[in-house]
Amino acid sequence: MSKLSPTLPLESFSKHWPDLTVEEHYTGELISLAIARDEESAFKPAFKKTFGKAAPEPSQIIAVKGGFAMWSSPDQYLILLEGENINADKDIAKKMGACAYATLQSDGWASINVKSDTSKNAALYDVLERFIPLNLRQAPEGFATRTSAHHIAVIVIKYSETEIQLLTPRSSARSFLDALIHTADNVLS
Amino acid sequence: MSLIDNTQVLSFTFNGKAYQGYEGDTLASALLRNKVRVVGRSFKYHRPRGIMGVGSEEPNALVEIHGAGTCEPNRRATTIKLFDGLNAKSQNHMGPLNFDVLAINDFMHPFLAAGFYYKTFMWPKAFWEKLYEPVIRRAAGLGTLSKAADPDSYDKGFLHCDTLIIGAGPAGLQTALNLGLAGHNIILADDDFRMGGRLLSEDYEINLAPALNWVNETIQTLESLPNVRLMSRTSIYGVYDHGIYGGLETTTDEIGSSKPRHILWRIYAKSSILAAGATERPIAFANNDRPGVMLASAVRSYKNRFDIDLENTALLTNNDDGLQTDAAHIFDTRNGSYVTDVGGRKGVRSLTLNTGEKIAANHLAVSGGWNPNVHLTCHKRARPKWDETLRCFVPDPKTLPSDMSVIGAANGQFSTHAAFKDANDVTEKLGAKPSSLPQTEDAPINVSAFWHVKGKKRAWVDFQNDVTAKDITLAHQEGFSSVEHVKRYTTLGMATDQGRTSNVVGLAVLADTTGQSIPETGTTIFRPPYSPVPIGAFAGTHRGQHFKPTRLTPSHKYAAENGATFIETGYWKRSQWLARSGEKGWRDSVDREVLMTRSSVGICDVTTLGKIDVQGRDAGKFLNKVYVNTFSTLKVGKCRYGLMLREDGIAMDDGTTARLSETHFVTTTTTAKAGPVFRHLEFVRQCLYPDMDVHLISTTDQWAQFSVAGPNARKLLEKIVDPEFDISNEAFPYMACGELTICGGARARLFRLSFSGELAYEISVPARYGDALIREMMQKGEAFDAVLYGTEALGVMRIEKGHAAGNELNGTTTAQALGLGGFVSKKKDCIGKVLSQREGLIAEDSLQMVGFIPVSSQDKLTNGAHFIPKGETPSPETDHGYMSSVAWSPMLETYIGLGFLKNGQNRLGEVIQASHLMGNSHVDVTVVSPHFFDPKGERLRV
Repeated sequence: MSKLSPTLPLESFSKHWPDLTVEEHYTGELISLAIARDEESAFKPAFKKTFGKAAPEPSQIIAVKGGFAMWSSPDQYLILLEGENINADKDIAKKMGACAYATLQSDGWASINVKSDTSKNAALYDVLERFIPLNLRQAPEGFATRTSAHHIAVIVIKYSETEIQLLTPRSSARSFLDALIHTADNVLS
Repeated sequence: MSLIDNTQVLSFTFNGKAYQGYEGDTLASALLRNKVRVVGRSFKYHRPRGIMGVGSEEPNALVEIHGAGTCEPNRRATTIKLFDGLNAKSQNHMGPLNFDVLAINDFMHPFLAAGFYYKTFMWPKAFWEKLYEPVIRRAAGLGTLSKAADPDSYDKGFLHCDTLIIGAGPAGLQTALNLGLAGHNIILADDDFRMGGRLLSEDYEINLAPALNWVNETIQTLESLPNVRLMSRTSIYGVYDHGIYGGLETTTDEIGSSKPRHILWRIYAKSSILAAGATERPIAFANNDRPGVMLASAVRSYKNRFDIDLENTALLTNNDDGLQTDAAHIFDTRNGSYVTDVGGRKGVRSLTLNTGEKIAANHLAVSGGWNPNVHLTCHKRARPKWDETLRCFVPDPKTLPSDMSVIGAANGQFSTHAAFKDANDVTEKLGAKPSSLPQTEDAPINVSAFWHVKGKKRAWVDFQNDVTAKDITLAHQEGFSSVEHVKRYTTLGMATDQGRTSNVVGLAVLADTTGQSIPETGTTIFRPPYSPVPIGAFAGTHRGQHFKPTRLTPSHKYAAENGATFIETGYWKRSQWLARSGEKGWRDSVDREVLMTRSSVGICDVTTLGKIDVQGRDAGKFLNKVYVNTFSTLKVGKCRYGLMLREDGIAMDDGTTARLSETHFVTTTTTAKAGPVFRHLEFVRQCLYPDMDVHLISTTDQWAQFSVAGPNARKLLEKIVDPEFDISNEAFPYMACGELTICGGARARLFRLSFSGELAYEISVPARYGDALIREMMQKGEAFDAVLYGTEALGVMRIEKGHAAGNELNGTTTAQALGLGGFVSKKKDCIGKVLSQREGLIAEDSLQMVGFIPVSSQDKLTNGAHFIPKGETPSPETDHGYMSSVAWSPMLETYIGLGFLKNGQNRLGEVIQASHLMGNSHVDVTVVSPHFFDPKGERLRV
């Protein structure tokens, strides 16, 4: 057990409004998985064997064995694994073999959950339409994509009608959060 | 049918005087209700001006709104929703509104025609900027800024819909109803605070009941539909590519409210329907700008919507629509009856007719026909066409954007019935079923071509810019015959109203002057914004601390706790130096950090360096292409310095690359070039070598990285690295790298690299451990008097070692100039190699990087100084190069510098003058090797 204690990028921030909560959320490990050139045919069964399902389609996140998998760009996926495993990239690389390349990304991102506290989700979308240039109101559950907000990169995942996860680069996460809170205050306060 | 709630009284002031209005009033209607006739002064002649229109077309009633210690100028009184406590003031006058000293300009009008300032104030030349221009600007113009900080906040947002309907008059509402009931996702936007368009202002009936009933029922239905978004007070100001529309929502006119005052919406729509209505235009005749001369449609609005009777009103019209206006006297140009002049300087008192008869009147309602509001169609280069029957420009379906339809009055369909029919037609076009056509009026407009009354006196065409019919004639006389030239010469159609009331009348006058028809004369093209947008709304939330993102390193908190002064490096904040008590200035801190590092050990956060994972079977081959030197031969567990060129052969960036496995490299970039290098590599991967098996991913934020430098660096790291890993010089020599664990099992990477010239390592850990690691290293380093050092000390040490950095990799230098010509592999090709061999770049007298020390140790070097041979006068011809980096070296106790000198490598030992003309500094310097400290590199290999 290392003596070094891990810290979350936003120090477990949370803020609540009557029907909205914005909070830092520990996601576990994030692994980027890229298909080796000309290895698509080997990748598909290896992915299914490792994660129990076929790889997700563009703009999609799906529940897989151990967590979730989302399409992140052509021939590339982001795997979100539950729990802490600092060597998760190596473990996955071993399971996938030569058909894919894995890169540890867990520490590169801060995770912010934006969720309605009740089934009424108006506040969630009223805030996010002032911040994210996507049509999240009409996006289906399981929608996931990359975009930018407030000039900062963000991965947007719609888990359900009342819960959306925002992954943003760790170094600028504080600016991202400040801007999101500022917007939420503009809309809800 | 009034829409005023006279049970809710609102108090406001205008020019300091208290008045009362009602809920539902605009500032304009409230002023008229209180019989305020003069509300401003004209642009150039300072003539008294009153309210002319009722909406965004208003050219005259521009006012300032005051509040929270500041003011907002140039607001149209017709678009300000009255609120309790509103403090408005008139603008553009010297002295009280009713006794404007600058009204003298009106008497000097023969000298102040269009373009007068192009012909006068020619001499003396120097007076233009200092005297003439300030005087002209003071005497003419619109409102002025308060120069106080803006107390309001603004926001931005993003909306998506199937169809954006612009304008909530009869056509817009009917279309929204049709598409909304059919389940389309629609947005209905209107710039008025109440939806209904002209139906709010006319006494029409729909289905045998007041039109207002239909409006209210329709809005009620639309509000109940979840797929419909109604946006009142939202002006669609621009149409852009890819179905993007700009919308400005005004939430309040009050200054200093706690909520954002405006929200700038970017609306993504699959299609749009322009139902923006039409704007009535005036007729030009002598003194037609007197307060009390108004558009006939505005007179009806004030009567029907705002319940204001404008006493003793006469009507001048050239069409049937104007005849709907209640008037004591009617002058229909089609019957040969018209007004030639208006009496009453501060308000209409009399009218002179073409018969010579003079009659008493207090108001004159004027209708010169209607102009469809086609502006937004032009933003994507549609060209409206002239309709000879309607006497106006209408949208030309042949040139309309494919995703835009135009309906109702904006399409030249001026009756309410025609608007409804247009709405139903477009509904069918969009694949939905229209609702039944409401029964309503279908009166033709029957307009005649009567544009202006010729005469000796001035007849106003553009009220906002004080452009008269004579000005347009003058422009033509002076050779400005193109409508675009006339616009710029006279300022016709500019400013806040964008010529809504003046453009067509101006064209008609120009056509008359040139002897052409109006379509032959042409029209100016409209560009965004359709209506004024405050700059604050464009900025949105990007102000103050939210102006731009800030990137923080993993040790930021620890550095702040230890007295760091931070410097912005791109978006990053890096420790510049970390002051200790007793130090008098930054130099004390930096000197200490350098000396302690070189004598024992120092730690610097270098997380900001770009880190790119390069993986794949062809990763080595790929790196061979982007770097001048070879990487495919690099052994696993080793690092190598690399230099990257742009395609034109100029140095792009440098850094080290480590090979972690046969298929896995980690390459680093400079902090400043992390983004551009990643973009460049992706371009090379995707476009130049798409067949290579290589993947790139930025891991800059993933890994916290620290440089540990100094003679005791290894000793310190031995306390951090887990004991099963041997990092002795033999096991882990210079340029070694490897993955290991630290502090009892934490994952880490270690690279034996040195930027400082000392025995040095870079250690990286997943960023979650960054804060803990810096604290652990500093705690373990206490035994060695370890120091945390910042970018200044880093810079001093790299200059002492002669390492190029951003100042040298400045976009003009080559590998040869940097002294790295030998790195360019002769065995392989790479990007930039061919063009780096251009004659001018490899000539003997090209610039080469060398070092400089002052001849006199008392002299200070200055960055940016140019090198001039001794005895020569500084000039472009005698310029032999420039100083790129300087520092005080605490090790050598002198200033040292790096720079580029013609044929520099062959001029070592020469004394030359470093001249900085802006600082008037001329220092004799000796040209030396750039490697000032430990030139043989013995310290870093121990």
